[in-house]
Amino acid sequence: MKCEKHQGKILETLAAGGVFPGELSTHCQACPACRNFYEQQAGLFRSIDAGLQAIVNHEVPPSLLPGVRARFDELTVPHRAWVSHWSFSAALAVVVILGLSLGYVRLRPGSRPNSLENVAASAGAMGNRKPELQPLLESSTASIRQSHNGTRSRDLPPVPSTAAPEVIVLVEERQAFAKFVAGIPRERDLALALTQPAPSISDGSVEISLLQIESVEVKPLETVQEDGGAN
Amino acid sequence: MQELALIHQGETLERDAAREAERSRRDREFEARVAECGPLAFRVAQGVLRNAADAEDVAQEALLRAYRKFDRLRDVTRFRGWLVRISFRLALDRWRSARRRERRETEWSLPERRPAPPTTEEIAVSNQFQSRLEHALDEMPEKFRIVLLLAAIQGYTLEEVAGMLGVPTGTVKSRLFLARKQLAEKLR
Repeated sequence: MKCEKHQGKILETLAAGGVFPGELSTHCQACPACRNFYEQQAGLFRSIDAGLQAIVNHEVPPSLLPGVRARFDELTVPHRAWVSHWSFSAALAVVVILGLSLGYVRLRPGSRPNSLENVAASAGAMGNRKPELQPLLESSTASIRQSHNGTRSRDLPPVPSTAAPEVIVLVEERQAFAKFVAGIPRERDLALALTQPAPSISDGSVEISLLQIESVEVKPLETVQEDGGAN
Repeated sequence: MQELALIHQGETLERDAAREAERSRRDREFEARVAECGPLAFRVAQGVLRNAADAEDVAQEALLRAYRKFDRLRDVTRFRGWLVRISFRLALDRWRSARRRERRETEWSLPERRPAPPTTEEIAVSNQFQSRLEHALDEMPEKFRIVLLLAAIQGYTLEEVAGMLGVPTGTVKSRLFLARKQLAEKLR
């Protein structure tokens, strides 16, 4: 029992790699069985340590560090190529997006050069527009635009906004309209009338009656002369 | 306007030069770390794989990974432990996949393609204890295995091993004690 206890302590001390306590050393010197056990186990642990050291303390191959540097170079060169490739793609994408945006802005109805706002602006530049008439002009162009859009939306089939112009205005029409708007400041009554809503005309019921002929005078045909022939 | 452009260009050049200097400083620092810790990464991988060519490949891969993430390492003094852990993890992955492949090939290969069993003389010549030790080491839990390997590498104290693993020295001693005890029981 005492030897078993000592042998357990021998194992733990060897596993821990520590120093044997005095009591254990004294017992091993006195007990041949424990001394034998100690020698066996100490040999086993020495073999384990030697085997582990043989595994890990392998000679480092001289190609290790040059190989690492070579792989660094391989790593950095494709990385740069990859970066340049992606930066080129990103730049291309930005250019495409900008082009599409510009195209959309140019084809958008509000940005057309012959729109009513531009006509009104050019008309304002042509004539001496009084400050008090500015809201009137804006409201009149807005009402015209609204009525125009309403007519278009009722009568015409919907047209894609990017495919065809919304309003086709001839040059003569544009000039005439500009001239008309430019003349508005001189004719105050006309300008005010344009801002007023149109009076609603209530048509009454129309009765269609038969045509009444009060008196009909029937005359005999004139005598046909024999030499002229009949008509 | 031209002066402004020149000033701006000068600032850009200065910034580029500073960035380039910082990068070369970082590369030099990393080179020094590689020269110092590269052999350690190799030895850790060798301890797991026990094949010099595979261990070299794993060590290089570990160093490459460390290089890629070197900027993220706040405390450069912890580089060694960081590299050891990367190398150990990579080596374990390779060891496991090699074992799986070996098992698969053994299961599927035809009897005539299987390697011939070792002769009695070969067994006698081979170092049985070493192969038993390696087998026992493979079966150890990871945390015991890394402690055994690092403690066996020459030139490192238990305090340094604890620093590499980021654990207290007492934990390293305790794990080493248990690992050695388990190994002895398996090899007895």
